[in-house]
Amino acid sequence: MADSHKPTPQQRRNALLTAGVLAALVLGIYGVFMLKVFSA
Amino acid sequence: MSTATHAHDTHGHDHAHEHHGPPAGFTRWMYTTNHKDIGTMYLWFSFTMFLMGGTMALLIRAELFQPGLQLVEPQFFNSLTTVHGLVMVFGAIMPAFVGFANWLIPMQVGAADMAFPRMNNWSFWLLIPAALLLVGSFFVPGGAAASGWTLYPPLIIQQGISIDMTILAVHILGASSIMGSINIITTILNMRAPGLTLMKMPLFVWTWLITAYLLIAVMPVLAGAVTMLLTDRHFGTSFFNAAGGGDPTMFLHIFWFFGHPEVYIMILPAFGIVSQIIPAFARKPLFGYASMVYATASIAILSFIVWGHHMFTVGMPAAGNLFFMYATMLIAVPTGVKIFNWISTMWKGSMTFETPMLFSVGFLCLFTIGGFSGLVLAITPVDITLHNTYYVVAHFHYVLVSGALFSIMAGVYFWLPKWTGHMYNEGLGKLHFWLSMIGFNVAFFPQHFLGLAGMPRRIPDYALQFTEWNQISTIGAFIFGVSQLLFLYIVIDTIRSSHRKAPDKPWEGADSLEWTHLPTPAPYHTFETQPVIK
Repeated sequence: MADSHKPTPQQRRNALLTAGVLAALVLGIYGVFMLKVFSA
Repeated sequence: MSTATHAHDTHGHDHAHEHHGPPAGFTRWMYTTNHKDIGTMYLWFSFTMFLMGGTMALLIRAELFQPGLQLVEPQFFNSLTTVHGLVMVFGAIMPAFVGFANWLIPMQVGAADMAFPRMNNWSFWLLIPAALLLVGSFFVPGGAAASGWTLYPPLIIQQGISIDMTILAVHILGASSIMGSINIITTILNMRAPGLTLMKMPLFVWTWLITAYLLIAVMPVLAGAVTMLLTDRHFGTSFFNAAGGGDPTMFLHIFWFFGHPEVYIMILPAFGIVSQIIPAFARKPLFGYASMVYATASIAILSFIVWGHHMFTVGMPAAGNLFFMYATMLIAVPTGVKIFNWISTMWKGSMTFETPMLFSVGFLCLFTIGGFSGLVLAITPVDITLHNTYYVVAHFHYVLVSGALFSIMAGVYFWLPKWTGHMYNEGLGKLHFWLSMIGFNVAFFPQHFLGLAGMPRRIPDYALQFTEWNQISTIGAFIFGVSQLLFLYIVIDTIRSSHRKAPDKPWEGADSLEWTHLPTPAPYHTFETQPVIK
């Protein structure tokens, strides 16, 4: 059974960047929400 | 739809000298980073939870076969309705669609695997402790959460340790969903085959891309809501406690800001599956591909501004009620676009009705009924009358069972040959469809009448005049429930039936990469070299 092709370095970089932005979005939504309600 | 330049030359299934298969035994599943293995685990997990949630549903229906208390205590009945909802939403429907996403998205975009295979493994294995917490909460003092799946305070503040278990379970499930969504978006945006532009992607990939964004946006909100519940219970805050200056209504706003997009999280991938199946069996390209994409995005955007229709009775200002009423009705427009596009796809098509198509047509008919009863409930004065009645129960089961679940069944029958290399038994598949169709409608259509007559939901007992329709509903529920054991048999039989070899492309009209570019069954490692799409 042959192995699959590997993502190119460019694809890896872009994937990490996309995931970083999305993770920041998630943490941002949760963080702002929590800061807002717990500081009120 | 896209066409690929390669035939079956890129998968490498003939390269026996390069043997690099999966490890054997438990470690294969524990440590796997292969999207197909993880997809398979999601699907089996989802089916297991479906059977658990279904058993709870049958207990509920058995209790409601007659007025009075027969089988279970009222508190346990409330726990059953609560955990049934949580298990079906978070344990059955959502993981099933993630299972499909894992199996299909890499193959449909020409990628080797998901962008982050180890995180993919984590996303799945987080489900197990969450499920154990959820189901295990039945066995702690005080019993499982009994507040309904919406976890409304103040009731939720007052119950025992099972609520903390439920809150932790929801947090873990949310983390799993977020990791899964990041993986899906990253894979679709970055790992597509050269030439596969966004507007050439199969509709299933599009619907999942949009669903994953919805999950990213609303899962942190749910996490925030249950964090607030937790601090109200244990850390002296009073967000939702009127005695401490809080407001239980605030929880409703926060919960439904998550909860309504959640409904679309459970139905958009269903639209994607049906959009793959109907063209395949109509032997025509999907009618209005671009409008399908835009309609999906419109539904997702609108889902953020309609949460108030779940709470018309809490005393919002009339202007608020009017806004949510009209915004909700607006969703019928893009949904109608989809329905008419599916019908137009079938129009003058060379149609055949194998089991996946039967479930898809069943989906189309019954989901439309669920959509219409949703429009009825969107009308504020009507909803004030029907709120918390069985009409609502009938409505959302038409959306989530004959909508989401029927599409899952359709998808399983459609892709089972690709997954296993064997054809399912068509006769038994059709029997499963008709038993499900009849059982479902007998179970849930009478609930419209019960609701219109004023029977409240989430009660173990009811007035005598509701008896007949409840008995019919219970009979239907048992027909539907038992017929799912037939589904289990069909799937196991297909896996084992090596004499029913599936051809590479068993469905004449199927045109996405997994059918045109890969052998059947799909090899463990797909795409030795990445395909190029014209």
